Amino acid sequence: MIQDFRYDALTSFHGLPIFPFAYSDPSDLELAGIPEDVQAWAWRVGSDSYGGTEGEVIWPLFLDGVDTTRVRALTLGAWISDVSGEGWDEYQAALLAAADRFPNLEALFISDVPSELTEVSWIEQADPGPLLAAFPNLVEFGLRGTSQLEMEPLVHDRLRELTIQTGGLPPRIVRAVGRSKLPALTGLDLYLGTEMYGGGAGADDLADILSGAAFPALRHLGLRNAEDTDALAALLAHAPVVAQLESLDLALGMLGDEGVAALLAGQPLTHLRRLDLHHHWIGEEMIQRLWQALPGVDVNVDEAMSQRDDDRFIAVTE
Amino acid sequence: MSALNWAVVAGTDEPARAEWTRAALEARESGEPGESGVAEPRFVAWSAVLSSEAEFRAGELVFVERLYPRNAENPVGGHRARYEELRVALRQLEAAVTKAGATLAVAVEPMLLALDRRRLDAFLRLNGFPVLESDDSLTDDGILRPRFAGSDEWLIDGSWTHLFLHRTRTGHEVRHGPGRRVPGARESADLTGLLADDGIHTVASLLRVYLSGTHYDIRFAVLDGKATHAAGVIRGQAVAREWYGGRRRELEAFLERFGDERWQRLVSLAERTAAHFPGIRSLGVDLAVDNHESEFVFGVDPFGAFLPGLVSGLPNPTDDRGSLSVRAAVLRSPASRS
Repeated sequence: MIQDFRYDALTSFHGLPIFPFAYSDPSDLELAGIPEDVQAWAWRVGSDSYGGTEGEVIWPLFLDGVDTTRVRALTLGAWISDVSGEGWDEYQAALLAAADRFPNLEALFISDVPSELTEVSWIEQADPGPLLAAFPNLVEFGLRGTSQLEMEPLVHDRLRELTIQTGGLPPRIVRAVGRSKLPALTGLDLYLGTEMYGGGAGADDLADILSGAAFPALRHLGLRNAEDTDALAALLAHAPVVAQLESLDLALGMLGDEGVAALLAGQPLTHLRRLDLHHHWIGEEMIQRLWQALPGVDVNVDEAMSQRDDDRFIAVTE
Repeated sequence: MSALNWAVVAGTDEPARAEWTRAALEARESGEPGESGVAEPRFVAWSAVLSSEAEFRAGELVFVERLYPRNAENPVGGHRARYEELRVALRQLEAAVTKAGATLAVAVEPMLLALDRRRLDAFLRLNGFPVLESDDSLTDDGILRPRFAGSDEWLIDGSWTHLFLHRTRTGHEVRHGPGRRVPGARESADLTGLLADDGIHTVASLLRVYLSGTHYDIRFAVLDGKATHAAGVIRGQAVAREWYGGRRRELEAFLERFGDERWQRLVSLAERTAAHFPGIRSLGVDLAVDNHESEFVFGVDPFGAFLPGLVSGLPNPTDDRGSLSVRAAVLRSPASRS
C-alpha cells in the first residue's frame, strides 16, 4: 500500500521512485534531465513551490516533453501554486482531456501536496468517479484531502488498491466507499481522522466494510489515523472481514491497552501476516502479550508515543 | 583523433550504465567535425573484478561507478563494512588495470580519503578549508552522519530525519523511510548508539539556506578543476536522482538569494576544494551554507555529481561543456583521451 502520509509528498508510488516534474521557471526546463526510462518512475506533476510555475503551465510541458504512453504511475501535485489546496476540478478536467494519452496508466494519486504547501485539511477534492471511468486499467488509486469532496460509490473492475489520506474522513465518504463496486479490491487504506476536521465515522458508517461483504477479495484493511482506535479495535475483534485479511493496519492512531486487550480477546488473529499498530499508546506489558499471542505475525509497534506524551493524538489532523 | 578506448566498472543494475551510454552519444553528437567520436561504453561488472575475472585492454581508460547502489535497503547501517569492501575492491581493480596496461580514470587514495568523513574533515581543516566542527556531545542539535560513505548516504539533524527506530522482537534496528515526527534527544541517542559501528559522528548544526519552505545545501559538479554544474540539495529526503536531492531547485533562485559576489565565492570554494583531490577529474563538492555568510565544505563525492543542464551562473556559460552532462563532458574532454 501507499507509504505513510505525515507531512511530505510521496517519495515512491506503485513501487516506483517519484520523479518530480516541477519547475519554478518553465524557461529553465531542461529535457536533458528527463529520464528516458519513463516507465520506471512514478511521475509527480504539478506546482511544487509557493508562487512558482502554475499547474496549467507544467501540465502541457509534461504532455509535450514526456512520452506519456509509457507512464505507469502518476501523482498530481498542486494546480495553483499559492493556494495549493484548490484547483483540483481544473486539474481533473485537464487530466480527463488527456486521458487517451495514458494508455498504460496503472496507478494514480491525486493531490500529492506536502504540508509545507498546504495543510491536508485545506485540500479540496472533486468526485473521483469520472477519473476511474476514464482510466479502466488502473489498479491503484489514491487521493489526499477530502474538503468539499462529494463522492458517489466508486465503480471499477480492476482496481486493486484504494487509499484516502485525510485528517478527517467524512462519514458519508466512508459509507460511499463501503457501497462501492470494486470486485478486484485487495487493499483499502482509509485515514479516518478526527471529528474536528470532518471525520467521525462510526460502526454504522463502517458496517459494509467490516462485514466483509463489500470487498470479497480484500486482503489488507487499513483503518488508520483513527481518533478512537480502541473502540475501532473492539469492533474489529468481531468483524467478519478480519477472517479474510492477511494484513490489518490500525497505525497512526491512538491505540492503547484497552484496544489491544479487545483485539486479543476477540476472534483469532494468528492467520494475519502483518498487524501494523505504529504510533500508539500501548504499554510494554501489552506489547509482550501481543507478541506472545501472535508469534508468527509481523507486529509493528514502532512509535510508542507514551514515551513522549501522555495525551493521545492522531498523526494527521490539520 | 582516434576514438576513445574506454570501459566502465559498475554493478550489473547500476542506473549510471544507461547514463554512460547516453553520455557517449551526447559527446559524439557534440564533437568537432571530423572527430571520430566516442564509442559505446564497454561495461565491466564489479563482481568480475572481485572474482579476479575482469579483463581490461591495453590503453583502455577505466571509469569507476559505485560498488553498492546509492540507496541501500533497510535496515540502515553497514557503512563501515561497505567502505572496507570498496577499499579492497578498488585495490583489486587498480592491480588488474595496471597489469593489463590500461589506465584507471581515478586515483584510489584521494577517493578513499573523500569517503572517510573524519579523515576528510581533518584533511580539509589542515588545508585551511571551513568544515563543520565535530562535537560528539551533541545528540539533538547536531548533524549526525556516518563516518564512511560510498554507497547509501543519510544524515539526521536536530529538526528532521528520515531515520527511525524500528522495534523488533529482540531489540531495535534503524530504518529509513518517509518523514515522521521530530526525534527527541533520547531517540537521537538511541539511533546513534545503534549505528556506532558505522563510526557515526556528530557535527555542529547550521541554519541552512532557506528557500520556499525548504533547507538546502549546494552541490557542485567540478570537472578538471572547474565547476560546471550546480544544484540545490535537500538533505535528509529520499533522493530520486542524485542531482535532485528529492526536488530540483533552479539556480536562479539561489543566485537571487546569494548575490553574484557570494555565489562566485561558493564556486571558488568548490573549485579550491576539488584541487586538493588530484587524480579525480570529476568530483561532487557539497557546501553547507546559511542565508548569510557561513560556508562550509560538507562532503566530497569522488564518484562525481551529475547535474544535467544545471549550469546557470557558473563562470563559463559559453563553455560548450555547459551544454553537456558531466559524463559527456568527461568523455569529450581531451584530457580523457588515452
